[in-house]
Amino acid sequence: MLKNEKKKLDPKAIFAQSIKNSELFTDMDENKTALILGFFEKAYYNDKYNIEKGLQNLLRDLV
Amino acid sequence: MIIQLHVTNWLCYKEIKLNFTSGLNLLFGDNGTGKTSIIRAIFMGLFGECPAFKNLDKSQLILHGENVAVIRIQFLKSQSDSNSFLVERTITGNRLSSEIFFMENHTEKKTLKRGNKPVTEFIIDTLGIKNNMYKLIFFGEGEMGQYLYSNRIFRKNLTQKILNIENAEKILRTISKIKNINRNRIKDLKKRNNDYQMQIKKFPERIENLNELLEKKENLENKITNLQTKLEGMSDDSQIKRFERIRNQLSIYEQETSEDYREIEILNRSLKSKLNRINLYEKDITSFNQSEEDVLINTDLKIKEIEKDIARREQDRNRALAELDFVSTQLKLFNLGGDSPQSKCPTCDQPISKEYRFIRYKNLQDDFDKKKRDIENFSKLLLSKSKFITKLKKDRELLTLKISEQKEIKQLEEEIASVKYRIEDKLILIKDLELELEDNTIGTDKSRSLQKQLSIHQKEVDQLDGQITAIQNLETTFFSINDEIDENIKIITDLENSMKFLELLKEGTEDVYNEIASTLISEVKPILSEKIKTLSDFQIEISDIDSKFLFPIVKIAGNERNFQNLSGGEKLITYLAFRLSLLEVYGRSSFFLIDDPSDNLDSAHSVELLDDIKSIISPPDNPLKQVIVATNDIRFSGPISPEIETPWKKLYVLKKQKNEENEQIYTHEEIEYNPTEIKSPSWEKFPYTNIKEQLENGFKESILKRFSEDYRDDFLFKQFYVTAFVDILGEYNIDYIKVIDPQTRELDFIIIKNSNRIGVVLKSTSIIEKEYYLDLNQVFSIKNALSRLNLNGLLYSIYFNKESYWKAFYFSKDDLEGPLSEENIGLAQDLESYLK
Repeated sequence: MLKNEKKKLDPKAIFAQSIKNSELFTDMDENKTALILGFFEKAYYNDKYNIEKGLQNLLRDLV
Repeated sequence: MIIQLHVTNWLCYKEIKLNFTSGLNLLFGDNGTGKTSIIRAIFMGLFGECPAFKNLDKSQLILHGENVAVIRIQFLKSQSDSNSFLVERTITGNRLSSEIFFMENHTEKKTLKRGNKPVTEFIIDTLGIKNNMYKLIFFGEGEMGQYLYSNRIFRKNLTQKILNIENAEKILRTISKIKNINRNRIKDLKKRNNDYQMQIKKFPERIENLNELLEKKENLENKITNLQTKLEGMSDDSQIKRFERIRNQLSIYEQETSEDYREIEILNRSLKSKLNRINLYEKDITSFNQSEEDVLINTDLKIKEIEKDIARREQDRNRALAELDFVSTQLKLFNLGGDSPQSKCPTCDQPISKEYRFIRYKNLQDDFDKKKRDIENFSKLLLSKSKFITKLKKDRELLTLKISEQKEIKQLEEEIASVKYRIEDKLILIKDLELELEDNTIGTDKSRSLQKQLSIHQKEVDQLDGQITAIQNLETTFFSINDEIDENIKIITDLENSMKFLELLKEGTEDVYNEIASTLISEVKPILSEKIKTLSDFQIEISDIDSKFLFPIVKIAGNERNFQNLSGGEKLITYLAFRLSLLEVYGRSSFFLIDDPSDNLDSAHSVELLDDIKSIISPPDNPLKQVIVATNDIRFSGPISPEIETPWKKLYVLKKQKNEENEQIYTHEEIEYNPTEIKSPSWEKFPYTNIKEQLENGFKESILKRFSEDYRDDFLFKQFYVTAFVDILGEYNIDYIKVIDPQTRELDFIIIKNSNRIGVVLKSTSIIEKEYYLDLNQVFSIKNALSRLNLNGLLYSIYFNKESYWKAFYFSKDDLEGPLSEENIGLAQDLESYLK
């Protein structure tokens, strides 16, 4: 559980914290982190967002 | 807390302004009176979206015929604030724009923020809605019914939707799908690379062969050059040319001869077919055997002769016929004379003796017979002659054809002979040329041998070229395969990197889901049992929350119970408590919007739910301060219990009616609860306790006095009054209650109870819309129902089942006094007499 009470149930904050804590995150540059967070925000909060297409685009930008 | 909603051109409303207060705010009206539009306007105004409009073009939210819709909501940060905020959402076409103002002393406007997202974020923050979970404050139309009657997957989906984690699951599903695709792609690419490796393993060996082949080819080409030089040096040009010319000429002759032979063959075939035809003609010709030319001439003469003979014989026959006719006439005349001895000669008119006449008759008869025979003979002869002449003519025709064919044969034979001569000539020429060629051959033997060698080498070179091209092609393939392998390796690396990112995304999203779900278990679980207790008397405990299906595991009397096996009331209370606990833990909102909670519920559950909702705001320490409910259930406006004085603080009765121009208009009546003016009855004033006491003391019938004439036409009073009595009937085992007007001593209304139904009859008029009353058909059917129940009174759709749920509707006596049919006049009279 995160310490910050306000962000306790904030999905975006949980997600950001989680990926930063991940072993897979090592050495990832800020741009890529921003891309991943951006994707998550759109996919999570926008019901009309095409997740599959967005994810494919994200991977193309990341790799 | 929301204090005012003001909309213009929004859905069905041209304009409506509603004020709200803390506590329970009711929007009451029949279906289609615009309740839901108001609830949705609040949600849309606050958050810039509404789940119900998710797939709609925003222009469809504007009143038909208008271009711009505006929603304005004034709200307070906390109940006691003297300043407020005003959010203004404007829809123009499909575009939404937003602005929020600070309202000093609720009046002076000052812009705080503009733009949809900043405004929404500001409102969420100001209203104290936590974690962006504003969907929690909206209890949608039919939600309860859907939850109660569906399976656990659906319930899980609904909880996910409310907690806004449904998209987390969608993301996880998509990640898993793409991971699978990538995994298969990597596998496929690796396999393809392996296959390529196997293919190119043998390439170097074959490419080494190429040099060897190239060397071989070079050697052969050198040999060819040498041979060509030698050939040029040794050959006499003119001799070779002559040799070639003879060979060419010979070849032409041979060609021509072969064509001539083919011609002969064709001519012979034609000859044979003609001979065959002649044979056929000969078979058919039977009339003569002489030579064709003679026969032809003779036949013409013979035909003429026979024709003449036929003509002659026809004349003879005609003559014989004339004679026969004459004899026949005479015979008839003789017959006319009869047997008289004095008969006369028919020609000379002289008397003829009987003997002479007999002789004469006999002669005539003989003559007649002879002539007849002659004629028959003539006819036979003529027929035979005609047949003969026909045959002759046919044979003549065949003979003509035969002669013509023979002439053609003769021509063909001549032609064949001429071709044969030509062939013979050619053969002589060929022979000469061959001799000449033989003479020349001796000189060209060596060169021919060289040429042969040259040709062999040339063929070898061609073969080598083929092999070299194949190897060179292989070399190209080798390089392209190598490129493809490199490309595949790069793709595999990219895909493996993608898999890492996907894994990262998966971990993050799972953490989000699990964090929210674990909060559900750790924080909702402890308060849920308590919440159930505050809402009802059910002995329901929550033993845990199912982390897979996100739903409380219910325990009753120490035993875990499947949700499906709970009673309707238990399900209702569990879900409502669950919903409110979610709101408390995740959203922490101070207000709650409820749209038509009883939709999709049966009558009994609907009534129970309404009671539960009324109880929501009861506890003073409840963080929930304001509830806005849209409902069409009239009972909702009734009292909760004697202990709670104010069931609601604000009531809007919404109506749809037609104006003078016959246009549909939406209106509303605002009713505010004000205890100081005692506009509405209170439990202290209402003799509820007395009745209860009397009932408990065994009264089967109680006569109540109406305590104030002021409330006669008061909507709330009637609600209050009726529901209170119905409650009493539901609780105690009594049959009916009569209410008598204390001044007129007339019956005011009567409440009747049967084994499973309760009926209410009101005498006075009511402000409620006509639709809520029975129409005459219903009255008629009720009369039948009553007679079946052996009651002389009236019954009006009040449902009362074993679980003591009830729902009250009522109608006034006036409604029964309208224009009645003859049949129903009697019924109305019955009612009237009963009421008296």
